[in-house]
Amino acid sequence: MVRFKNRYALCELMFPGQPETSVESHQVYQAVKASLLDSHGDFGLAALQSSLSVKYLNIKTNIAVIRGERRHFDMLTSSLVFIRKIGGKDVVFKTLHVGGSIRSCQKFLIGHHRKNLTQIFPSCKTPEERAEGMKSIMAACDTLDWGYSVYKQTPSQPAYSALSMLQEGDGDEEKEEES
Amino acid sequence: MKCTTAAENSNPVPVKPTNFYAEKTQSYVYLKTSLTIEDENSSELNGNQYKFLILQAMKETLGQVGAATPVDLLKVFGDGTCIIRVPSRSTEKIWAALTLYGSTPSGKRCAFRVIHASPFLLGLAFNSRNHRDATS
Repeated sequence: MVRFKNRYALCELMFPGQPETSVESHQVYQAVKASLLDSHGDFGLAALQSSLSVKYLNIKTNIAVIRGERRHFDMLTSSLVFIRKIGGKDVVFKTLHVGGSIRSCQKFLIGHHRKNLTQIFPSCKTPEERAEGMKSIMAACDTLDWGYSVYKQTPSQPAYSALSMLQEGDGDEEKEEES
Repeated sequence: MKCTTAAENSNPVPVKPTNFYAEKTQSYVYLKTSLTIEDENSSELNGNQYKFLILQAMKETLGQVGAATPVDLLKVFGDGTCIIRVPSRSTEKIWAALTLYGSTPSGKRCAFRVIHASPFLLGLAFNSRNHRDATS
């Protein structure tokens, strides 16, 4: 008996011109299915339909994990490119990562967010915004317990000292709430 | 192409070649197909209609990506048969798509039948199944 293997595509749903849009996971599923039928026909849909599912959809960051059978996964990734609309909204799919498990996708996602955080953080205009963002980041660190050594040594310290410490460190060592 | 002769070494007299084989995979496969449409005389079909129906069949089963494979319609015979040339990598897919096609866009039932498939065009020139009919 051979194991049934899957692949997971980590996709970012980008809504050009309307950044605050969000969709539901069944809408994503239907859009992927329709695109698969359009680009690879009855054969492509039949090959992937049994294993196709949207395992995870973050409505805040618009990041989805889509599962498909490994053998025909290239058909799925190629049809993702052709999705133009989800529920009447213009959308572009950007495949960030293809992994063999949801866990590996999550690992990649943490690294991806961490990398992007340093780009997003300078865009905070007011000092309140900066502090708020940093606070939420620190809170995420607290719940995640991600092995942040300096923070771990001083768990009794209030959040603002850790905040000032991070700001000195040029904001490079932040963690992200998305995991 | 190479020709093999029976008993090459033992017999110095050149023997008439008996069989042929191709040394490598040919890049194209030629299919002889027939098309029958319900309540219609298929001998009236022209090349454009034929090609359109082949593309419809491919689009239905293989989608737009599959329908992008180059298929050449070489010849349409008067009796509703034709010869098409497909890349040998996608022969099976296109064959399957033709077989699975069931109805024309106008709603009439139709059927493609692949009569003959060969990597050489010359292979379609003669069908040994018709041998008895031709000689008798």
